[in-house]
Amino acid sequence: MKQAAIQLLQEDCARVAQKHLADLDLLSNATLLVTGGTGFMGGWISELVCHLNDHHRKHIKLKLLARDRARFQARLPHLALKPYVEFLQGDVRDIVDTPKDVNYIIHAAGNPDNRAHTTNPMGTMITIADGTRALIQAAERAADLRMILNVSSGNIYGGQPRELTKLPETYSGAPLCGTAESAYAEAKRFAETLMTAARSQARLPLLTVRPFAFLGAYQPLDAPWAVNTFINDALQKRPIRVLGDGQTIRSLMYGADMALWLLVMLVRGKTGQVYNLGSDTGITLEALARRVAAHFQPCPEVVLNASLSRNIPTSVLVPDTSAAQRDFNLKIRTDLDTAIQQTLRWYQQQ
Amino acid sequence: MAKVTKVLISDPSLRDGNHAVSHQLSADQIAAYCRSADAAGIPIVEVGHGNGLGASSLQVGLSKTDDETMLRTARENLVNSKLGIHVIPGFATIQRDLSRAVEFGVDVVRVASHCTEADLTERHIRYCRSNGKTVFGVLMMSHMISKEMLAEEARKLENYGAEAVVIMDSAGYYLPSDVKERIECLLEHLSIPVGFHAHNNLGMAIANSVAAMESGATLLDGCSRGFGAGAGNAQLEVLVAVLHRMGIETGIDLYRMLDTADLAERDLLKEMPSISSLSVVSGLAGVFSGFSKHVRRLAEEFDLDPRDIFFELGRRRIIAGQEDLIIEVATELATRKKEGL
Repeated sequence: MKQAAIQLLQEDCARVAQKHLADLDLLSNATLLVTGGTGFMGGWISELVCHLNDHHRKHIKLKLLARDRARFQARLPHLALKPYVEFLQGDVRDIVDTPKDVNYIIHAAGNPDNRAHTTNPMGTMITIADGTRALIQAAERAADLRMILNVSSGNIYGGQPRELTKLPETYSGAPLCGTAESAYAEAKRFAETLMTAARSQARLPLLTVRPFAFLGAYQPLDAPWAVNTFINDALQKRPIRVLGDGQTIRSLMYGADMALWLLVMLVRGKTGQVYNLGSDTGITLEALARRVAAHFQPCPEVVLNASLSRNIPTSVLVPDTSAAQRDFNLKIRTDLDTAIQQTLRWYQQQ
Repeated sequence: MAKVTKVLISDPSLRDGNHAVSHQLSADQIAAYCRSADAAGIPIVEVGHGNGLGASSLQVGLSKTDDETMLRTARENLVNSKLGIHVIPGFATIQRDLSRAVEFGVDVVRVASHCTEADLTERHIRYCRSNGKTVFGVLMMSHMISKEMLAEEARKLENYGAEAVVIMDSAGYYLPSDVKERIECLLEHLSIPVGFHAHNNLGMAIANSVAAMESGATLLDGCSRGFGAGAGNAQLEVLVAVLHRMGIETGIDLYRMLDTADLAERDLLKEMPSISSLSVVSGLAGVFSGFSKHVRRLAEEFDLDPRDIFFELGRRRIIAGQEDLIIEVATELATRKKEGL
């Protein structure tokens, strides 16, 4: 990764972290294990830890568990040089012991790409279930474990009913179990319950976050999420195509905010708590496409595929994050336009 | 369901029609047809080997005109109409075929699989989407599975990024009631538009296309003079006329459409598609219409009744791409005949 791109990520981390440095004191001198260490979450958590260590002397030891060392070296080459970052090559399903000095674990392993779930629903479910089981059993042997943060999914709600403008953590909807398409969401639900059982049975300290939609560095441009598609279209200097009538509503959280929220929840959260993770400001896909387009000169055309669109109810997926705001004073510190701009700069510097 | 008032027509005459002439369409024929179709305002004109991009081979037939020439010729002669291609993963690779098609300026990619194998399309659909192309998912031989399973496969296409799903009645097997229940089921399970591609083995292509539209399909395929595999497809100029009479918008100029169909008859077709006795049998047997030429040839070679071959192929549920099994069936039938079984 080019120095300018690294610098950009570090600036983002500095900007979002400044009001929460005291919260993050609890991480000082601690060892943090992140499963799925080379993914979008792993990348951003690593950047934030680097900022905290390099600029605020937190002396956090970071251990990234992932299957592919080459991917780690390709995606996070600058982190490989940091003395406090250790890459642990392995599959979370095979983990027997956690590093002996581990204090915190973020269990972020898992592929949220619905194309992979569609092609291999059985593999999706088995991987999530086995990975969670293995991690729990390994964590039971950790001597000084203070918290496991289990990364679940906003999909476990099974969609957002029209009468709700935002989905609170208390909403008890669930994915339909009669379809293979629920494989990922159902497996994440199972993983949540398995973790809860471990909390009850083995007294593991545990909290759960349910992530929604994000943007920022470390997301592949061909990822199947609208904002990536829009950015990709614009970067390729072609019209931004919006499928359907563009009235679908989503919300987006920037990667740096996501990493900050995760670390604050990890160290300040209480065992048994559940929090949504994402932005609570919804935006239609058409408006999002226009916001992306506005960052380019000349401004690309936004094309709605409305001639083929069907008269179906608008889909909305926006989390209620008032619990995280109330309990930790967490806020969105990167507005959407800044998030788009920073994301574009990062891609352009690659 | 809201009443359909507008239908997007896709014309695969220069692709499905290639089956009818053993993939021997020339660049001049492609150029002439494209100019005429463009003038008629046909929204999408598909070109290629009958089995799509990259399919020219000894097994399914060698094209007279290579893919590159077909694409370049069509691109040069289509101004307003979009250039479409049919892509079956396995025949068409991303690196060798799709990337080149994208370079040539293809507008619409229809990624097709057998109706139970939608998961083969993921990488091709992903490639098209990341290159900014309109991409539809296509399920061939859709009569072979239940409507529920068809919906499940179609959902995969949607999840991979397809912007519409088209089901093909590749064998010309459907009756309007079959089409209605499938289209309705798909619309219930998908949030993207649904289309229908008819074949005329049982004389139902237009009726089935209308049934699809009345059930909510907003994409319909049709070929000039029905120029397509076996008994041919929905006859496009007739389909357009019927839709216009029903008040459905197509954006196509009927007179020019009729001129395009006349041109197809004069310049493309060796013989007018007709519902031969063998086509009726292949429709009833639920076997891909494109097998007719192979079946007829092997029946002659092995001194068999081609109808027996078709019904046996249907019993074995043979699908496109398994052309090599036709000879196996013919050999077995010949052996049985010889042994008096």
